[in-house]
Amino acid sequence: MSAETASALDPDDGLLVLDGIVKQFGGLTAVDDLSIAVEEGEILGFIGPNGAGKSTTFNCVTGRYPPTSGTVYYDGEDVTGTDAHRMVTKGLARTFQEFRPLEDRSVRENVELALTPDKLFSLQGLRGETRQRAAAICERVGLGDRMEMLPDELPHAGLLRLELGRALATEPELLLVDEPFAGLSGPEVESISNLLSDLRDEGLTLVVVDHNMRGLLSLIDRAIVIQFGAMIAEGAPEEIKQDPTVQEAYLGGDEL
Amino acid sequence: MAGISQFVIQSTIRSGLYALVAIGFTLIFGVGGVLNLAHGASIVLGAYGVYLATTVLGLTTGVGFVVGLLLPAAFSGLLYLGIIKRFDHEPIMVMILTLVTSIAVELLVLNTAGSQPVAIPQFVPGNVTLGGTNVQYNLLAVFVLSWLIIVGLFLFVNYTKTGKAILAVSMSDKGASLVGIDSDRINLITWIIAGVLAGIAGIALGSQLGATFSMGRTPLILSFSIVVLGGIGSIRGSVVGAYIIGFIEVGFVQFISNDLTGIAPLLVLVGVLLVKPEGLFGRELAE
Amino acid sequence: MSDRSDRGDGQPLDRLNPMRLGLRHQLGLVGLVGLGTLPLVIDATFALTLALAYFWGVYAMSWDVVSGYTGQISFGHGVFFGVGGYTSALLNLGYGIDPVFSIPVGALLAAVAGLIIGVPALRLRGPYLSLVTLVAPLILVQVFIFRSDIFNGEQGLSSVDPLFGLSTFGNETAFYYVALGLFVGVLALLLLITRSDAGSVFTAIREDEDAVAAAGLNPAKFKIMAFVLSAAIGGLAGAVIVHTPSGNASPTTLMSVTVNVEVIIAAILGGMGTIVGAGVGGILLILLREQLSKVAWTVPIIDTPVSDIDFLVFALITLVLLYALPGGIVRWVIELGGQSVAKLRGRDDVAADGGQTPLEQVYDSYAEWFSGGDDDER
Repeated sequence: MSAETASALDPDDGLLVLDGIVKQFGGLTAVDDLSIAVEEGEILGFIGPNGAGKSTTFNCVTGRYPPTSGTVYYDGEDVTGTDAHRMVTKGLARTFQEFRPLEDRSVRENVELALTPDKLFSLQGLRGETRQRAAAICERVGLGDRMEMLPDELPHAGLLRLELGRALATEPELLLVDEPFAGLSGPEVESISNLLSDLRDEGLTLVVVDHNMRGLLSLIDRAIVIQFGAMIAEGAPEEIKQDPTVQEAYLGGDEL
Repeated sequence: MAGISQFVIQSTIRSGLYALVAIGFTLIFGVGGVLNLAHGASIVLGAYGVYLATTVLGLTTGVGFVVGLLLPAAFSGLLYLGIIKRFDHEPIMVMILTLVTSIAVELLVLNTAGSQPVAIPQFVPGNVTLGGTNVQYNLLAVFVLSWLIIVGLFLFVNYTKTGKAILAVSMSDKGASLVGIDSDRINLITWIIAGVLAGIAGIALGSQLGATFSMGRTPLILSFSIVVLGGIGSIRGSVVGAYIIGFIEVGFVQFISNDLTGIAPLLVLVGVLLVKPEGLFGRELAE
Repeated sequence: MSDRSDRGDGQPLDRLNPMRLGLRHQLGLVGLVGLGTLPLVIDATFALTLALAYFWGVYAMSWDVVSGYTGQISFGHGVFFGVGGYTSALLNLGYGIDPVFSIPVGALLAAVAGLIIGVPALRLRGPYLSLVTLVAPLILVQVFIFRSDIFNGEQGLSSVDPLFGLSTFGNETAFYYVALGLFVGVLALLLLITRSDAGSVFTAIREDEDAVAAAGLNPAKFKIMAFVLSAAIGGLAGAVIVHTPSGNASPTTLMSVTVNVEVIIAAILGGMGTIVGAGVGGILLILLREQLSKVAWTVPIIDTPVSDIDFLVFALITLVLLYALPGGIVRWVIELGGQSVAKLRGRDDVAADGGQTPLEQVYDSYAEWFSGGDDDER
């Protein structure tokens, strides 16, 4: 194994730091002592074959469930096991790979929800401001002409845009994007890539999770590859592509 | 020491009855993934089926028992075909509809047969003294019957083709349909079997205490508690759950206060749901 | 982009100006005024029936705010009516406290009960929460029977002071206004809350809790709020009703299984998740039962008068409605109204809105209307 399992990362090594994360389900170890630092302002590719533990890692960070052991630092602060909604308030937003729009309301209203303050008594929505902000975000993610549609009228790429819009509405510093390119056509991949790199240029830090490098090569600054819950390679996308360990991991299975 | 042996014997026998009560409920949840709140209504129909055949129509006890099994089986099957099938993937809708149905059945029974308890013939009359405790033969018969059914169901599910199909549907609807199993048919069979089992439970309960229109309520709550305790959907878990609740209830009544009858299952239910919602053995309830 | 967005900049208070409301709201207001003048033309008996109907409207609305909106279905709302009613009755009987003061205490304790039941809601989802709500009233009834010395068991508490020292005979009109006032007050409060941001979070929780959390909102907090709010209102209604001829503090009238289920039926009847629908459903349920009690026809075979099995009729209606009008009566009427208005104005089919079914569309427009978006009927 050539991977450097850089143990004992410092809380300030990056905007988001995972230090020795382990997640077990019963006897199964899904994530095995994983340490990662996400630097501010970068686009990090988080790559691994299906079943490598990407989503589990993701869920440990976003607060869906706590890790079995290890520490998550966000902005230098220990946030291990923090609830999903608190992570969002701290500035870490996510998209759902399987797309989870609220089917009962329009695209714009989906985005409006993410703009709603986490307060029990709020009439903000009755003023027009939220609506305008939501409309602006819809424009930003390329749904400007479809914001009155219901989610089930949107094509696949549209749903991804909606996921992004909803995440952006929470005004994140760091955005975790889960498998954005699966099922997209070439031009769509390019268009979403452009959107993501524009967002980075505006100051957003991004982690893009995917099971292969398709669409990522030109987008990401750095890639981390995991297999069986442990890191097997880290580096610039071109290096990763040539890395023998990585190639072996993908042999006979997915295309890298 | 007489207190202890009495406690053990009474608890064991009562637990057998409870297992009998809960098992149909478990079966439906395990296979269909829905909570059948009309389980209590099936129990009522079992007891009143016997009453209708023997007392009202004057048929023999044997025929009465058959009617007591067929009536709830038919009810349960029709309930599935008429209502549940359409709302198969909406567990909450199923709860609302089965609850409404069960109250409708109760009121129908109340308005036709009255509010007074009616007598149901016993399986076996008479008493016997066991370890210093006086036990009705009828209760012993229920106990034996309960184990016969548990073992029978186990063999049926594991060793017959239909049984295996039921098992497959309980694991995955989609998977089962991929290998050519008609999950609607399997669900229907399950509901009918559950109806028969509820009928047996109804006759057993009625033969002891008499039948009333609301006799299905306590068993329904009991079923929740047992099934939640044992892990929803697992037959083995339910049997264990039945024994735990049986022992707790008899213990409460014998060692604390007679007024606590019926409250033990409720407390166990709420306790388990709050502390360990996945049950002692079964699948996850809470996310 | 439609013309909707430029409508959105009015001040919240502006929207309450009757002249600026949509047609259906104006009709609703006219209807309420009509109910207010009704005692001029009806007799005392019917006034009391309507009073009971308003209480049921409140029951159903209290259920709707937690179950219809957040999707946390309560099968035991009677527990809140019971806590409210018994608290107020016991304070009045035991300590001679005037109903005006004992009623708020009843509502408050019911809110506490809502908190106790709402907390498991944080861990349990779907049917499992419903199990807790289903057994909660049963436990309470058991406790009432266990401590019959205080709660008088199945009989319940009687000879509680009537509200405002009114007399049961002769003051029917006053009781009518008490019930109507409660109905209108609760309706206004719940409309305000469900049309505020909280309402849209509630329905989002019903759709997908994880998505709500991913939007940076704490689903637990909103669920608890819905439970406490719902319990407090249910408790308020229960507390008021025991001080009127419409009810008394007994397990049968406040928290029996039948009550619990009829509340659900009422809300389904009128339309879940709309507040107005639930309120109307509650009223309809009681009026329907009143009508059934006048039917002399006897069902053959079982030889029972229809009035004795009114629940069966409700059950059948519920089934038919669930198949035919799953959105409930109020949504259906609004849809019909919307279509005829559109026809009157010579507009084409309304379904130009992106291929939704009429029902979805009505729901959509309905939700939007109240959330303060649109201005006019389409």
